[in-house]
Amino acid sequence: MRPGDVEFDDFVRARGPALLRYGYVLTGNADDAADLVQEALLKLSDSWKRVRNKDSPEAYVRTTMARQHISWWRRRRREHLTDDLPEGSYTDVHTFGELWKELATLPRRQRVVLVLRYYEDLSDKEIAEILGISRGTVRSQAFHALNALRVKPSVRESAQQSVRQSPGNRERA
Amino acid sequence: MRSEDELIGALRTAGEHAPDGGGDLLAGVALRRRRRTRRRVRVLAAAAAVVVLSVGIRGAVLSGGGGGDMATTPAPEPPVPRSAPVEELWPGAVFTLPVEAPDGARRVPMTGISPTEVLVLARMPGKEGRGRLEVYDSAAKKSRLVAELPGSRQFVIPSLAADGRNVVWQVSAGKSVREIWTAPLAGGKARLVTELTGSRSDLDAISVNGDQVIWSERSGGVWRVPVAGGAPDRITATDGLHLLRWPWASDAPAGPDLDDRNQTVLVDLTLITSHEVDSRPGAKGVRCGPHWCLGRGAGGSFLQRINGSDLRDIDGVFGHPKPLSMAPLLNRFVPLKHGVHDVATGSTATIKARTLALGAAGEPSTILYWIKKQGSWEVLNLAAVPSAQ
Repeated sequence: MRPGDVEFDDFVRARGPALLRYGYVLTGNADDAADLVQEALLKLSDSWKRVRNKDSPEAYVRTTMARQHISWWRRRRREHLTDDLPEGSYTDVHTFGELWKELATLPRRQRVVLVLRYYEDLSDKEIAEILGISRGTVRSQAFHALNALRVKPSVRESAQQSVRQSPGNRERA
Repeated sequence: MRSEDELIGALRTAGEHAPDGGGDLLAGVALRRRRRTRRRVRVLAAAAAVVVLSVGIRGAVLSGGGGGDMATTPAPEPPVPRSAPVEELWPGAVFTLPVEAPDGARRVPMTGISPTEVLVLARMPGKEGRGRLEVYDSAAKKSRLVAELPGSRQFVIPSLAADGRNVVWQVSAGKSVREIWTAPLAGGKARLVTELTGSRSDLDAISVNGDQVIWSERSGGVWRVPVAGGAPDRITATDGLHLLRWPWASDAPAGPDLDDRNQTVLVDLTLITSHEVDSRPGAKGVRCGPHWCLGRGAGGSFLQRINGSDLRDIDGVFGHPKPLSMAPLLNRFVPLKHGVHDVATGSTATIKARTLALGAAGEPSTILYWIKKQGSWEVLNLAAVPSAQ
């Protein structure tokens, strides 16, 4: 460990468990969660001084994790899948009900959008900024994901959806 | 349709149940930094002009590095104690199981029930609700039907257990509703034993023993119900205990899992007697069966007796990114990344496969399986390994 990094260590000790939980919800398994958190913390440690003074380190790590999970993570995921072992082998030791299982079938970006919206409780605008996509894309990703999971969107969301989907109503929005 | 609240609930619950491991984060970050430094060194080394410099740095980095890194020269996997390929060491214990059944159902071996018989889950692709349990007889090379699974319910994978007479399993019947079903191993109709709802529905282990089904909850506590049906009854003095394999229970889950929790007692539920586990300081993920414990220390994985004696190191224990926490199977076998170590004889059966899987059962499974040829599983039935004597 580099000298002068005591604060960084403190941050990791204090926030590590929460970040791992977030990683687990994002990825769906403990191994990927640990990798994702460690990789994001490595990045954070590189820019610790800047982040500590200007932004919230926690928000920085969480943003890094969401982005990273969508991007280079894909490669790793494929390695896992090519082994073609059925679900239920040793990595699948946790089951939190059907909904949790079905989340694993979503495309990665849709899952991340749902996690940011329903676990992190962020607005679509904030999600759009984090992922570097438009607000419309956030909404459509969420819409498709909820549909696949058979989750009924709340009134506000369905109103937005119907407005977006019928061009004639666009003025009203 | 489900509500958004259910989705929020599912995400929160999963988050709360996420395996811990926070203590390793700083070490993990440090390891990554070293790895990255080495990768940079490799880039430097590509330019001939800086060869001398790179050798100097690499020497310093390597001496501080951990195993399994992507180093300049690929670091080999930690050496696996070499004995013999599994087919040579235990020829009677390995057999081939075609993945596809004659009617197109896909089979997955779950656990062994005798030296020649393995319970198999067979499901029609695309119709995961429809399926059946079979017993595959490795001597006769034949499958026979045990029971059709109830169609409208979703089978919960790590939930199957059997004794000599019956098989039991869990199905999910909606949010926080689990049902325990049973069927005679000889073959017959599946029958509902009991329904568990709410906080009672989160099970981490299940066993069947004669006329009783026994299980534990993820939050601890052991329950039982007659196979014939009836109201579940909590076994006294089992607060915080998790079922291993009847009649044994532990204060840590049976695993396999990535949890660092150490088991500190082994309880015989028939007599409610307990044995304290004596682990060395700093040990993590120590889990014990009636004879042996497996755990992780600073120097790697180790085996020991419950009282702490007979300590020995063991390399290459199954699991990623760290060895899984679990007791040796059948008091004797430790799954490795590339084989199985037999504690009783000290020998190791090596298995050549890209990925090895442990059967997923409601109590520690007694089989391992892997793919050798496309379209068929190779299955190692640990119950068929000759005794050490």
